[in-house]
Amino acid sequence: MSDAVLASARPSRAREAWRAALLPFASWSGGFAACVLVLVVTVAIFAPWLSPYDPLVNHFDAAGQLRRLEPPSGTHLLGTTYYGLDVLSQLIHGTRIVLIVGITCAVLIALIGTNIGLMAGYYGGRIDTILMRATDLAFGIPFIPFAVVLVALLGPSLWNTIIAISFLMWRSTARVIRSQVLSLRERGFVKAARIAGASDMRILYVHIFPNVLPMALLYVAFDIAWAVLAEASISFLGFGDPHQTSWGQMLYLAYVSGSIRQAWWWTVPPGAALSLFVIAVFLVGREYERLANPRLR
Amino acid sequence: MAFWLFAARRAAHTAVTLVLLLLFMYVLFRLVPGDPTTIMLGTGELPLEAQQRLRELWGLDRPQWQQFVTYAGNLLTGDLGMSFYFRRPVLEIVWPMLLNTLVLMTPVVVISIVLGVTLGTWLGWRRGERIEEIGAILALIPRALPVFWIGIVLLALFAYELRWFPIGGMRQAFFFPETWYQELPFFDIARHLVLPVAAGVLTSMADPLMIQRTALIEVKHEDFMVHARARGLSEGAQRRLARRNAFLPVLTYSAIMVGFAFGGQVLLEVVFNWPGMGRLMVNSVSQRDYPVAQATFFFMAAAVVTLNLLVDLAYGWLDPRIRHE
Amino acid sequence: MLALDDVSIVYTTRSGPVQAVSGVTLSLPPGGSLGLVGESGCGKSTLALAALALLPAEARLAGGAVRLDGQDLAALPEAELRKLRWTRMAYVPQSAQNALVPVHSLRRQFRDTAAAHGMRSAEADERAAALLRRVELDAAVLDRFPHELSGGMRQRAMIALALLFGPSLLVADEPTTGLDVIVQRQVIDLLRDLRGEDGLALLFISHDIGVVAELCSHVAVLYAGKVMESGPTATVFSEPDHPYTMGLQRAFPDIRHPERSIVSIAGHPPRLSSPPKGCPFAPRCPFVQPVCRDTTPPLVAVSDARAVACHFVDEAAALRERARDPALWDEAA
Repeated sequence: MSDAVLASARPSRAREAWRAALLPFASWSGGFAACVLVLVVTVAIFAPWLSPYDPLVNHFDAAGQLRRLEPPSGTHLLGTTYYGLDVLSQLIHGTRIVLIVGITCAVLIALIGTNIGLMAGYYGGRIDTILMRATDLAFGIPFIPFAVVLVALLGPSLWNTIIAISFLMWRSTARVIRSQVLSLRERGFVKAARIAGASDMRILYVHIFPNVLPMALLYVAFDIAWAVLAEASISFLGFGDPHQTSWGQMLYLAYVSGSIRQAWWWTVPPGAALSLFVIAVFLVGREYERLANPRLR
Repeated sequence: MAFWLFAARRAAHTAVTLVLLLLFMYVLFRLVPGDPTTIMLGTGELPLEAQQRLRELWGLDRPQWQQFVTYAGNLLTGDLGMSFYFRRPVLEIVWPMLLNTLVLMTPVVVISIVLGVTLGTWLGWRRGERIEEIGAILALIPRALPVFWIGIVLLALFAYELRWFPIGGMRQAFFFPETWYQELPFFDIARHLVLPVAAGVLTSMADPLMIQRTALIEVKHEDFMVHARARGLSEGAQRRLARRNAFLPVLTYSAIMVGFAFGGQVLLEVVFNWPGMGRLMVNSVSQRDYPVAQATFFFMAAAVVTLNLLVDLAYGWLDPRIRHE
Repeated sequence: MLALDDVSIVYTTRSGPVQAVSGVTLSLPPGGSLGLVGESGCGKSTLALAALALLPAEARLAGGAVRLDGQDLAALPEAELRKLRWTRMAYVPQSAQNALVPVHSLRRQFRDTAAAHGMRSAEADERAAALLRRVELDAAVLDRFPHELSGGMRQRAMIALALLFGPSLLVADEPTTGLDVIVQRQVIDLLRDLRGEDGLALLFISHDIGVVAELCSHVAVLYAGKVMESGPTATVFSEPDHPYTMGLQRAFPDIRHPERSIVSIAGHPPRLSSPPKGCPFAPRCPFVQPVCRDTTPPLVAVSDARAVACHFVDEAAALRERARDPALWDEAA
């Protein structure tokens, strides 16, 4: 009887989506993390209005001297860089790179990884062997060194960084999705669809894909964090887009200009912001992971 | 017997992967506009005729597949070509750097796994307690920190501010020991190692920790753990049993981890100015010294692939069930 | 030697507490044998774990006491319990496949167990070899890994391991599940030989009343965490007083009456998270009366040795007569 009551009280699709969106707030860590992510997105959208200065404009004092490595003050809330740029403005504009890199890479990785996993798991045999060999190969390539070589060869730009990151990172998504498909393939509903004469494409994308979607989305979430860290690493090594202000780039410039010994206001904010963002993604991902894997509850 | 068959199959698989990697690398480095004659000598600085002679001399006029076979053959016999920048054989430059890299990477990987497995076992064993919940979140944090930023912070604090450790490099020129312990061999290298190893361990420890914790939680529910308790095994013996059975996923992961470690290694070496392969690679890429860049890249990839093989073999040895599959 | 006194066990689950066992009283004398029968989910395995003081963290003893030789196990600290385990009470679990440590050889498992109670490796090896011979295994299997043995060999090795310290209580939880018929036979014969040897008491848990009838002098029939009927095996199965026992009896082939058709009791055991009011068997009982759905019948002694929890225990003879009709069981729902 209680089942019947529950069934009649089943929430609508919109309510379900709303509940899923609020899920991280079930725990204090998840709620905190969700707030951080909302903050980053908001800052990224309103960056030009929020930032006090143009992040790429050099500031001079009244005497015409470059405002080099000034500690935080009323005019420059987070101080200035060795090149006389406003740190706070750079920090604010950095959120845009985080979002662009995070989202673009995650989408590319999900597209490549999910499709390779679907194909390999569903068709099996030769196709599986070839695709999984390619995945093994991708696992054999050290990630950061590869990204550095590729960006250096193609020329440093944000787009090339995104390509370099996505080129290898699909590998773990592909493996996980494949193993999911392998077990789904033998399920009744897939067999039924096959007997009913559904085409392979239809079975793959109409019947199997929705079932691997939650796992794929979870991987996308974590990929956002990894992609952002990777971009920061590439920029820190000096292969970032010189025309963009990213947090990794800020740390690179602080390091190469030899300013890390005194200019904590230049090194701490981008590093802390980067860490906070990645932790937030992990924590929110963790909340959703519990949905996918009840053992972790 | 079965184990040797299993080992041989895995080794063959690895060999194929290595050849494919070589091919991939060959194609990758041919993406560069121009060819070695223009890169090495700059365009227009050499008469066309001389360039043509060099191309013939270097075999650049032959078909691509022939070039690849020559290239692969040379690589496998240890002939990695000449550095454009140093004008010396690549192997001579890369080899000492490779050793330096291992000096830094080995402690990072070993300490990360030992600490990660220990803490992961501890957390998993205390599943459900408040301390476990907090510990699990704390463990996530270092994984999220960029290793180069940790490096910068450690340098600013412990090298520049407190002056406890050197600001980088692997040894100090003209190091004069003052006390008895400073006279110990390797003392100078050891004190240069502290900060980079700390930064590396902080970031690499989290993954084995989380994996061990999850695996331990799964193992704890197994029938054999209930049975072990029924047999009157002490708490410590039970935990060791759980750890032993939960260790295999960490082992699998450790191969991947070494792959990541090479990535982290590049960053660590750059931040701490460690004269290893990672820093050499970044420098050679910046200087367009492609033979050196290729060699460093290939060494790293080959190390990852070989370690994967070793881990597979160790897995077969540690879990007697695998060999029979 | 083993006495369960009004034992209740509650599991804490995400959807609230679940009472898996309520008010069970049982006793097993030294050298005796007691069978616990019932369908899966009736609380038999939980009781087995409670008897060994091995309840998982999410289960707790909500009432009553488990006593071993008069000692209340719940009152003992973990360190004391640890000493009792395996030296006084041993356990043969459902699946030897999962209960043996997969990555250790049998020798290692014998030695680890021995070491936990201060026995040296050399002595453990000697004991192990003797015990393996006792269960008709070659001592060479000591150096094998569990996955290298057949199901029957594993289960016999498991029994040998249980006998390492000559315990006075052996709890066997469905030890023949998943084995083929011939191997089941071997394991049962082995347990029958061991029963009573050196005063070994056997608590045997099974859903198969035929096996229980063969192995145990006494039996308790469990349903939804409660004892429905208990007494000497011979009389309980020849003259069941509880309708559930009657149905259970008809659910297994009887060698003495091969012409009887096998019935299955229609319906399912109640969900323990929301147990029905009154007698737990009422929803499936073919003889159900209004009073059954209202009042829970207490377990009352009907003779020296037998106890039954049914409102109509006085009419048991008549009910047994009616229960012979197979159609009766299929109709009830």
